[in-house]
Amino acid sequence: MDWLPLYISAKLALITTIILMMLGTPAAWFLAFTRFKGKLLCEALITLPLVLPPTVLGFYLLTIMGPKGFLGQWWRCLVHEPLVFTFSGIVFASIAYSLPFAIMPMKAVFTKIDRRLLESAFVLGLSRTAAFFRVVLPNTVGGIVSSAILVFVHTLGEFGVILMVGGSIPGQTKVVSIAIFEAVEALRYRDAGLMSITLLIICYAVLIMVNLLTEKRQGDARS
Amino acid sequence: MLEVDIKKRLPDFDLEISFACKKGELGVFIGPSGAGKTTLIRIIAGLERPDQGYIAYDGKIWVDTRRRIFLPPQKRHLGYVFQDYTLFPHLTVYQNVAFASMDQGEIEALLKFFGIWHLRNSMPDKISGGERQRAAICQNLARHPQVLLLDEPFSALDFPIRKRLRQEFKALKKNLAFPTVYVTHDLTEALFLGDNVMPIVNGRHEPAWLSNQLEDVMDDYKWMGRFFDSYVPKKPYGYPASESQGRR
Repeated sequence: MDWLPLYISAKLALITTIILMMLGTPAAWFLAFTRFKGKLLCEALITLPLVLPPTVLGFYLLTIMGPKGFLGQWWRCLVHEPLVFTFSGIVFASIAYSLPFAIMPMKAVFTKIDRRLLESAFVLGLSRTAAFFRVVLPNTVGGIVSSAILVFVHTLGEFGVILMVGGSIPGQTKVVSIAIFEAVEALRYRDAGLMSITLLIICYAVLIMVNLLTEKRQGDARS
Repeated sequence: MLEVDIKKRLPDFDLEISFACKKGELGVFIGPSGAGKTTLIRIIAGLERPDQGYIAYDGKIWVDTRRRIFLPPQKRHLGYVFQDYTLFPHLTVYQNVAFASMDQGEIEALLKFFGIWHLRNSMPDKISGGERQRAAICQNLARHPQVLLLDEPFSALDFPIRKRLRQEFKALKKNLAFPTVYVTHDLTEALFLGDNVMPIVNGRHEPAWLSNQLEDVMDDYKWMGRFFDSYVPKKPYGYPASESQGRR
């Protein structure tokens, strides 16, 4: 059996998770504590990939990431390479697709933090950034890790968006879910079964981890 | 000296307070719930902005709405003990007190003064409410604040602990060299601790409120006096014999 698609999926999931955590944490923090005009629209836009069919999202991503799209042109200027049907392209697509899984759970965790803890930190002389790292982060780390795990596992199982933006180039954009689909089409059920069970075990283990973290968090909150 | 003269529109009334508090003095704001006491203390802390007015400490302007000056709480160098316990839950008692001070000797002395040195390695959720409030006071004192603000710090505690903490705070008060603003709705606490007791009702100074409250208390005591006369000798309700006899 070819393990390369699983490696590509894991690499894609890891890179997407790291980037989304770096971008999503300040964005979630901003959404949790700031009121601004159009906040509702902004949040709905972030949540859109949750409800939009992956092919629709993939189509629009293909349009903006293609040779005539602004993202595609910008990328070409930057690295002199096309964005669609490349690994970088599916990273961009995954970021857009998993954005709500990163931001919305983290926003929920930040919203729940006792505002008085923050006020206490401010009065004790901490800047907003210092208060985030010394007070907010240690008290929300469980929620942040849960959201990172969700992003990872969600990216691991991506299919429609990747197929639209990346196609199925072995070693580049052929992720495990596409490999399973192709194996079934070619009647290679053994390969499809092996890849599926591997993915199932990984996802199941990860969800148990998320549940354990959530339970621990709720236990901490109760005590 | 802390000088405050502010106005702020609240949903039900306008908060209009002006007062001054000298170094070493403990100014107490007393009034019923919803009188604007907490808003006042939050404005002094910089957690809320007044609509009009100024706040100054030792000539340094913290707030002046006319000149659009507003110093954020981080730059006011305050101590603020909240109504309910706001120790950082991920830190031990010691780490909480050391949060804004690195002077280990002083932290130790403070924790020992308040009798919680033995709890230094405990997490806040493993100690009692009274111990948490003691730790919160230590946390704020350890940073040598310019002004100390206390918002009903003992109101969530049971009566015996409240009484003990009140006495501990009174003992500590002699050593405080900065203005302290204390907010409470407890008359005994206000009169016991305060150098300057300022009644506040619906956002304004209301000196008559205090005398009304005192009259109410006197009425209560008259009634309770009769109760003690008839029952204390038979069953002293936990008062030491000498103390209960003294009350008769």
